[in-house]
Formats: sequence, structure tokens, C-alpha cells
Amino acid sequence: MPDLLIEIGCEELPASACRDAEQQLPGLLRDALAAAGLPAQAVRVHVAPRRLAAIAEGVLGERVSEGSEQLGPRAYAPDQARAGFARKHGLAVEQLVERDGFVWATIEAASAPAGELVGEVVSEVVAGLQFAKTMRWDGGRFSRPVRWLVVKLGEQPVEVAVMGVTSGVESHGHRTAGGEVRIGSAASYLEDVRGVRVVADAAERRDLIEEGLNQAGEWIDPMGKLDEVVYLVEWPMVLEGRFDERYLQLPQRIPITAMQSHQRYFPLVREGELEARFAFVANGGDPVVVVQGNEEVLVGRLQDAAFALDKDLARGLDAMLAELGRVSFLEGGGSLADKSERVHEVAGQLCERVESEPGTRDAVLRAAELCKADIVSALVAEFSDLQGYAGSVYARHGGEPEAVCDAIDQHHLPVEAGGALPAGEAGALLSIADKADTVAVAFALGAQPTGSRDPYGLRRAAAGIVTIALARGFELGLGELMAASVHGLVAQGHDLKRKPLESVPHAVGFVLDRVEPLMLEEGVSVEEIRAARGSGVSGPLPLAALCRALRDARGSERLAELRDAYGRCARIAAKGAEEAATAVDTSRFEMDEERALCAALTVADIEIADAAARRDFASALEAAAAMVAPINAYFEAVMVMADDPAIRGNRLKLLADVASTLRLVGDFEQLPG
Amino acid sequence: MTTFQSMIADLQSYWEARGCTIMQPYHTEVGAGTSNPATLLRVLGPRPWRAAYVEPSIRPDDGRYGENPYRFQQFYQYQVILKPAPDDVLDVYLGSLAAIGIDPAEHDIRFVEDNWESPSLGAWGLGWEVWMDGMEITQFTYFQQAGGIELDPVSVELTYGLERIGMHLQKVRRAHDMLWSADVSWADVYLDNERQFSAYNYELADTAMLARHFDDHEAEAGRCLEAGLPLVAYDQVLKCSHAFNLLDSRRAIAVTDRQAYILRMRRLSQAVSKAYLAAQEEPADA
Repeated sequence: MPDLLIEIGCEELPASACRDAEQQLPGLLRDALAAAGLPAQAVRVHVAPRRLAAIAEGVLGERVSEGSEQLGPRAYAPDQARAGFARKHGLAVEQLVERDGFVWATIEAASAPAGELVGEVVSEVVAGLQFAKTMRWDGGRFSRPVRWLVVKLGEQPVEVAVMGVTSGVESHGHRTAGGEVRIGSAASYLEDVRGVRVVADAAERRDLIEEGLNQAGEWIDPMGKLDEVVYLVEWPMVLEGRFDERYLQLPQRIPITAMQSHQRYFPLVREGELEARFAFVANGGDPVVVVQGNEEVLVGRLQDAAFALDKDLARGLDAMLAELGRVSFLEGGGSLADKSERVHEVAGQLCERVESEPGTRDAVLRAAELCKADIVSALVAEFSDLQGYAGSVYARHGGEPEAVCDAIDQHHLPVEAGGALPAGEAGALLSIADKADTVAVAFALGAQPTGSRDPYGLRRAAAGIVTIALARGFELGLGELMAASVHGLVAQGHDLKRKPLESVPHAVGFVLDRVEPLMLEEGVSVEEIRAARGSGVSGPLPLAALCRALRDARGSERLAELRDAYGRCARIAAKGAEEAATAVDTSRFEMDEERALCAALTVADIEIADAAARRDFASALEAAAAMVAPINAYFEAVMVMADDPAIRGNRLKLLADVASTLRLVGDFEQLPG
Repeated sequence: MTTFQSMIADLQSYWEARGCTIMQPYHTEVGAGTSNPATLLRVLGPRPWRAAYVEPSIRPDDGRYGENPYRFQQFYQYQVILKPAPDDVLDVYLGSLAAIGIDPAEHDIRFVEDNWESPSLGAWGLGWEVWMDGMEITQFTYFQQAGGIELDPVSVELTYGLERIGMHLQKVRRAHDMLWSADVSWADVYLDNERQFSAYNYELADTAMLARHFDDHEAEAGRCLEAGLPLVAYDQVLKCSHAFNLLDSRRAIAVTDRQAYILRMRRLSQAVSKAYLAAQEEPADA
């Protein structure tokens, strides 16, 4: 059985597009082959900047021509249903058969040699690739223009046209040192392109790069550039450059950032100390020339950094602070000075709520005043990645306490999902206050994310709030924090063009949404998350605690009983909502079961509230489960819809109260039966 | 020795040989060669267009009084615009490097993702920054939209940073030392210019006058559009844009006003683009 090779030749793809393609291609190829009736034994993918290659091994040479039977409508269904079913499968009504009370369609797949079917497979694979950003050119729409295509089934070339190109047998090698090459087959592909200076397989390139870096010395990659560099080269060549030792006197993160950001160099260290050397990955050229050029670029960047640092130190943090009034934060959301003022207020409230030590509180509040100043610094203008760190350097230079400097440095963290969290409590509190203000203000201004558009990075900010709060066990009172931000915005004279606090619940909900992926990772089901959200808990911490309690109770008899008992109360209470009394009147009770249920509710109210306050939702669930017996007894004995409207209203109100108390530990109707 | 002027001459003849109309710089200040109507307006509509030209890029806020080795309030771009974008444009570009004495096989030439967007022009595109041994030497963009209008066919724009490339070819660390001609340096030609314009841009420019000019040119653009003169209106938009850049370098634009200024310029460029395109679609004069 032959192997199928598809090589899509492109102009240089972005690293992110390479990674997307690498993930998607195996599934796309497998599915497209299966749909064509040409299942493969194995699929592999080789991705480089100028090529996406997908190989299916052991493809059947001919379509499997097994017929299949499709189940249709019931035999007694009206004629239109039969006609529609027949039409759907391209058959005449007379070709349908009846069996076991149903109508069936027998579909015969016509046999066809694989070569004829491959065209469709290639089109489907190419069309199926999804990139975050795509562009148009005269051939179609893709991450970057497609310029050639090689398709081979075994040794045989297959002619296919997609994206304005027709497949051939010629591939292209390294852009400046390669040339064209004739591809033999899937089996020879990697060696064929290696001959024209292309290592097509990303894992192999990564190995080569790591090997080269290891030879250069002890390398570091704090900004995670290797994952990108692997997809920026087709013929990796690890080289080593040097710079003047005097730049080692800069605060360490500055030369590291000068090397890593934009240039994607790998700093070399010895026993934890930076060396005046760096390693980098080139894609070709004369090593002497290439090293010299890169050294010059780095010297330029280090000079810029040193110059900016001197200028900033001479200017001082206070002068930078004075400029924040001129820098816009969010469209319509005022300046960074306005933002700092609000963050100061929110951070103060947060410190009170989490009962932080006075020393921590002082550091947070001072850092809140200073933390945005470095945005107007010359250093951050050159290297935006140094935001926060630059401010901490200037604060230290200005004699601020170490705790303040650390909080300034850490308040940007985490910079990405799974990234490092602020190491200190002050940094953690300031980070939350800053992000909560950003989210609250964006929502208040109607600038919340829509679809995949999230220009202000609000999802990342919200995820940061959640991760820090959960890691540190902070009780946030998000609604109040965010309301404080919005009040601040109004007090600063910004026109929201809507009721100020209208947006707060949405902003809180948006942050709580970010708890969900974390819970899924912990094995909580989607239904359990929905049930927990339905409880109305309003902070990441209680939401996570309730999710976990529901997960732990999954499958238990007590939970099933509780769900059913809750469902009966909730449904009847909802149906009779308009008739319900405004408050339960115990003097209108006629049956012992009513009195028993009311008494049980009083106990459950207290116990659930207590347990929830301790974030002990396992106990809260126990307290709720204690209601099951009185609820069931009640429904056996009591006729809720009594003839007397006063008694009926009283009974409906009691059940509504029971349901709302139970719902504090979850909207159980969301759980599967 | 490749002088600055001979490098430009080599680029001119290279692109001339590839069918480009060799244009001259535009007559009013632009922040980039993209804003020259030979690019921004010519990319609209179906008519093919190939042009190349040097453009002085005027960016008041980038001035450093001539003290920074490679940052100036005026620098030179070499702009190539090809419509429709040819299939082999990357290799043709590499050929242009060879034409000015850069052997692509000797260097590490890389096409690194870089996407471009201009909110005030309602324009965006995808492409690369071209690296030579780690140094960015060219911007490469497939235009997708201009003046808020989807482009069909798609044009490709190449923008060479001439000072950087010239410094590399002459192996000098400061633009000041780069030879413009055989016996005249960049500093001879431009150092005083940088000092004086930096002082004007940062210290002297009359902000009240500039704000008035912005309003006046905006109004004039409107009148020109009404009179069916989009090319003239576009000049007025460019003058608005330069007034805005100067106001910005004078720190005279309040946070709350910045977005409004940008929106005013975007509205105008979109209206101009629409009018220009409509005029293109009318049957050509006999």
C-alpha cells in the first residue's frame, strides 16, 4: 500500500501558523482520507517556515467499496419523510427497504483508484487549516501565500490544484542556499529536502538547536524564545557572539531583555551570572559575517538601553509620574494618572478585605501610586517587556523601600496563562487591584471583548485575577472592588453614557468565567460548573470550592436524592411564583410535615450559611442533604395546590424558600439525572 | 565604496528594469512612503500599478537633535509598490539586495512575521520585517485594506530603511559618518537640519496655529471632496496628519482628544478613498 505525501510550499509562515498547522494537520489528513474511503495506517507531519508536509503511510490504493446502511424514518412515517430521506442519499423512493419497522437506505460506495480521490483529500486538508490571522492574495486566503504544491502517492505524482497553484514534483529548498529539488516519494521526502538545506521536521530542528546551544555553554531562555526560533529557520546554525563586559553592569534583566526580546538571542550564564556572550540561531550565511552583524545589532540595543537608563535615572520617578496625566489608558477611560488613582483606592479596599498586615498595606498603596510611572520611561519605550521591572529599578534608586519596589516589579504578573505569579503578597494584591480596575473600566465603557477580539487583553487580566486569588486564598469581594473602580471613573468626570453600575455584574461574571478552564483541568464537569455558577457565589475562591465539592459528591446516592428533591421544590415554586405569599406564615400551617419542613429549613439556613462562609461546601452539601427527608415527607403528605388561596400561597412560599436555600450549594437541576 | 546616493541609484535602476515607474518624493510631509498617493491611492481599485521612489519620512517625535546614531526626525525610505503582487516577489526582492552589493547567500536573511496597521488611514496588511544578520532592513507588506476598502487585487509594498542599509554597506556605526557622495557625509547634509527641526518640533512649533491648521485643512478637504477633487482633498488630509504629528511632539494633544483626532483623519481618508475609487470606476477619458 502506497504512502501519500502532501507538501504545501508557502512564503515564510509565522511561527504561530507553523504550530497551528502542526497541530491540525494530522487530524485533518486522517479525516479527509477516511471520508474518501482511503484510511491510512499512520500519519506524520513535518513543518518548517516554507513548507507544511503531511504524510499518510499505508494508504489503500483503492477506495474501500463497502456499502453502508443508513437508518431512516419509521415505516409508518408520511410519504414526504420517505421522499426526503431518499433524496438526501441520492436514491429513488423505490430503492429504500423496510426492516424492523424502519426505512433503510443502502449506499454503495463506488470503487475508485486512490489517485482520483487524492485531489479532494488535498483540497479538504488545505481548506481545513485554521489560522489566527489570514491574508488574501490572488490565489486565495491562507496564513501567507501558497507558492507550490507537491503531491505524491507512492512514486506517482498526483495532479491537484489548490490556492492558485497546480501540484508538481519539484520542491524548493533553503531560500538563499537551496534551489529546486525533485521529490521521490513520502519515504525519501526528508532526505530529498535535506539535500537542498532544509531540515523539514520541527522536532529534529529543535534537537539540533538545543545541541548547538549546549555546546555554546549554559544558556537561558526566560522569555521562551526557543519555541518560536524552531519555526524561524529551515537550516539551523547555532552561532555565538560577544559584547563588551561593561554592559554586564546594567541591572541584569536589561541585557537579558535586549538579547531576548525581538532578537531572540539566548543569554549565556556561568554559575548563575550573566556572561558577556550570547548564542543565537541563524538560517544560513557566512558565520563570520553573520556573527559580526548580530553583534553590532546587539551593541546598538545595549547602547540604547544604557542611554535610556541613564536618562530615566536622571529624570527620576516623580518627573515620570507627573507625565501620566498625558498618557491615555483606555479610550474614554482617562489617563494613566486617573488609573493609578483608582487602583490606589481599589487596592486599599482589597487590603482591608484580605486583612493584610499594615506593612504590606503600606507597600501596596505606595506601589499603587508609582507602578505606572515607568510607562513613560525611555527604557520602556525601547523595551516594553521591561515594564514593571524598570519602575522597580527607578523606585529603588529613589530610595523606596524594597517591598514597594518588589510590588511594582511583580504587579504585571502573570504575563501569560501558566506564567509566574507575583512572589510577594504586596505584588499579588496590587496585581489584582490593577487588573480588576482594567476589567471593570473596560466593561463600564462598553469595551468588553467581542468574539475573538480582545484588544485590551481582558481575558488574560481576568485569568490573572483568578489564578492569584486561588493560589493565595484571597477573598476578593469582586463586585465591590469593581464598583469602586467604576465610581472612581465617574468621580473623575468620565462620561459612561449609561448607568454606572449596570456593567459590574457582567464584569464579575467575566472574571468568574476564567475559573472554569481551571476547574475542568481539576476534573470538574461542565454540568457541575454550571450548577456551581447557578448558586450565585460571587468570588473565584467560593466558586472553585463549590465546584470541587460537587465533583467529590459526584455519583453519590445523597446527591441524586438532593437533586430530585430540589427539582420538585424548584419546579412547583417556579410554576406558582405569582401566587406565592410574600412571607411564610407559620400560623397557616395545617400539617405536621409543613412544620417539620419549616423547622428543617431554619436549621439548614444557618448551617449552609456557616459552612459556605468557611468555604466548606462539603458540609454545606451535607446540611442541604439533611433537607431531603423532610422534603419527601412533605410531598407525600401535603397537597401544595390547596383550594384556599391563602394556604396555597403560604405553601408555595415555603417551597420557594427551600429551593433558594438549597440553591446556595448549587443549581442542582444543571446536574445530569 | 557604495555611497548613499549610488545605493539609491542602484535601487532605482534595479526596479526600473522590473517595470516600475520611478517616481519622485511627494511634495508635502508624510510619515512614511505608504502615505504618498502613489501608494495609498494607487492600491485602490483594479488597475495595475508598479512604482518605486525615495520618500523622506517626516516623524517629528523621532528627532534626537542629531545626537542618536540612527534616530532622526527625517530619514529616507525606498518604497516599492507592486500591484498585483507578483508570485516571485520575495526572490525579486533578494535580487535587489544583490544589486546594491549585499550577497543574500553570505548573510542570514530572514522574513520574520510583522503585521502593519494604520488606524488613521484605515489600512492594514500582513507581511514581514526582513532581517539581515539580526538587523531589520525592510518592511514587506501585502496590503489587505486601505481607506477602509478591501483591496482587490492585493498589492505588495516593500519599504527599505535606507540609512540602516547604507550604514551597513559602508561599515559605519553612526549615520553621521556615512558618505552621501564621494566627499560629502550624511552629517554634512543633515546634521544641522536635525538640530534645527528637533528644536522646532519639540520647543517652538506654535501649537495654537497647528490646531487651527488641522481644523482648516480638514474643512478644506471636505470642500474638495464636495467639488469632486479627491486628489486635492488627500493633500489636505496629509497636511492634517503632519499638523497632528507636530502637535503630538509638542505634547499638545490631551489624552481625551487623541482618539478624536485619529477618527477625524480616518473619516477623511476613507471618504477620499471612496471618492478616488469612484472616479477610477468611471470610464476613462478617450
